[in-house]
Amino acid sequence: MNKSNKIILFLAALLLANCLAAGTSHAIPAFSREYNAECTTCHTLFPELNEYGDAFLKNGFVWTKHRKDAATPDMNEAVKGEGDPEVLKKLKEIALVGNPKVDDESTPAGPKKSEPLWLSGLPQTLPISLAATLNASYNDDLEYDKLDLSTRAVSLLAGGVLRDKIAFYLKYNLYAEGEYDPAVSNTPLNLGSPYSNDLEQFYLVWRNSFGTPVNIKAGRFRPQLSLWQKSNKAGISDFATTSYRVGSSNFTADATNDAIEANAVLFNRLYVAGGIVDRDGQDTNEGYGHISVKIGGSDFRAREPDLDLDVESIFDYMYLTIGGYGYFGRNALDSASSERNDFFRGGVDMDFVMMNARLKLAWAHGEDKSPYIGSDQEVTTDVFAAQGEYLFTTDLMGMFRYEYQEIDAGDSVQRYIPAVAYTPLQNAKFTLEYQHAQADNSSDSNLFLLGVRVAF
Amino acid sequence: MRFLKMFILLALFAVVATPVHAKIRSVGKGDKMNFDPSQIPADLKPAFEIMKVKCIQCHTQERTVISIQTGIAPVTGQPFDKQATKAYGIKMLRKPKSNMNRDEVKKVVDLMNFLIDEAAKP
Repeated sequence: MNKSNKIILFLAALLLANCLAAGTSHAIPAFSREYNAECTTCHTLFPELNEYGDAFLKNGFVWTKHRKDAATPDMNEAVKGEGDPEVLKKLKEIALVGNPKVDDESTPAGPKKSEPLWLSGLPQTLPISLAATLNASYNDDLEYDKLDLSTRAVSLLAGGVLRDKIAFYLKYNLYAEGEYDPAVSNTPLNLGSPYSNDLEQFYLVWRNSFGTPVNIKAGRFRPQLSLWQKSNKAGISDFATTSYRVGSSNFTADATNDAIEANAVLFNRLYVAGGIVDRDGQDTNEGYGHISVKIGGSDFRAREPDLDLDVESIFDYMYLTIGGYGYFGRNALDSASSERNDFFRGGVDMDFVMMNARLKLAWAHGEDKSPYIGSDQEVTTDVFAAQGEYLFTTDLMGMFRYEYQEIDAGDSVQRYIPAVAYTPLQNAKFTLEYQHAQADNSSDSNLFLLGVRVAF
Repeated sequence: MRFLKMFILLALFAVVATPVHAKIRSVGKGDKMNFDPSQIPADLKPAFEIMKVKCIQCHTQERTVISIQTGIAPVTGQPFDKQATKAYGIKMLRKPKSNMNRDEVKKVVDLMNFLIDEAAKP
């Protein structure tokens, strides 16, 4: 048995074990373990974020403190001694909610916190988890190998925060399917080289740097451009607005890069981010900026609106987030080349949620001076995507996406993508997706996808 | 010597265990934990019935019991007071598929506020 078969067998066994343990299983990736919270605290159907997951991400993996007087009823008496008041207060809080050294069933459970771990700045649990994706696809347009069964990716994930000051996140691809090429592989996932077998993301966030609301993020990550980053989806395929490429340029808006970013939540409902990127195949640093505002719902610090429980209003059940971004860059096929492509990407996104329904609208505009490196052909691109989602139950979502991609006001592609996602467990998801594409210069294409994703 | 060790262990346990409020009694353990129904006044019994049915659709009643008893929301570590009960009520009202209407949320918030008052009594 070769290595690939062993991995597939191992994953199949894990998946089976998950299914068999359905009665007692819990969502257990790193954040879920650390905060003793279920997956749906932050996700609709994982890994798509709900508004609380979005706030958690924006605030550097910390549940933001809602009030300055965060004292518990039993903590109001003055703390004696000359030590650091913050440390003493925290120690008292730890004593209040339990100490793992005492294992007594009559004591109510809760977030068991270890004093030595906290003093050392360490997470309370080992902040590691795994995620695996299995895909089956059927491409009716291929002459051979129409059916493709394969393990697409196995990733090591780690994340957490050290004493609410330094947040960290890591995604290492233990295994990923090779570069996307329709002639070789049917996968539409944008998991190609150079990130498929590498450190996809590793970054640190200095929260509230210098006592300001500004978080400094550094490392390898996806620059904050669109409202929804690559992994923030319930379906299988990526939005064309952030994953499309032009000519020979390998740039996509959702690729991970080595970068430094400053971001901040301002006035609780405004989020701004800006950074510089150091990317392969360029000869100068690139820059980007993002701004988004949220109207209705909880704010970017996850604080609930102060509704009147005696008065019914439809507006209480909806919220709207609008975001815009711009990215300036310059790339080449390799750093030694003198042929450069100066490019710009900009876009506007809208996220509207009303009860169980969600509408995502995205528009992206691109301008490339010479994307076919070596020629001076300028290319302008416009891409539009609209996706409607509906939660039939807490574990079943239906989606439909329409995409329109136009390159240089001539060559256009339209895609119709219905999908259904089901999570029998909060950490296991089955997604069925169909893609029908109509291109101006080629015949229609059809692609069926079945994705299974587990995180543990 | 063995008795001494036992005594020290019990004393240590007592020191650590005392911060938990004792005014609010609970029955059952773990996933089966709930508020002792005998301490719920008659006018709040309907709210208690709603809580028993609706809240456990997404989380155990243990989470609510702990929040009331300790004054701290277990997940966020934030104070669980009357300001928090309303905020959680609004969150549950807005949550997709929470299956709770405004009237039910209001009744459950009133019940939690009563339990918080009871927990605060000396």
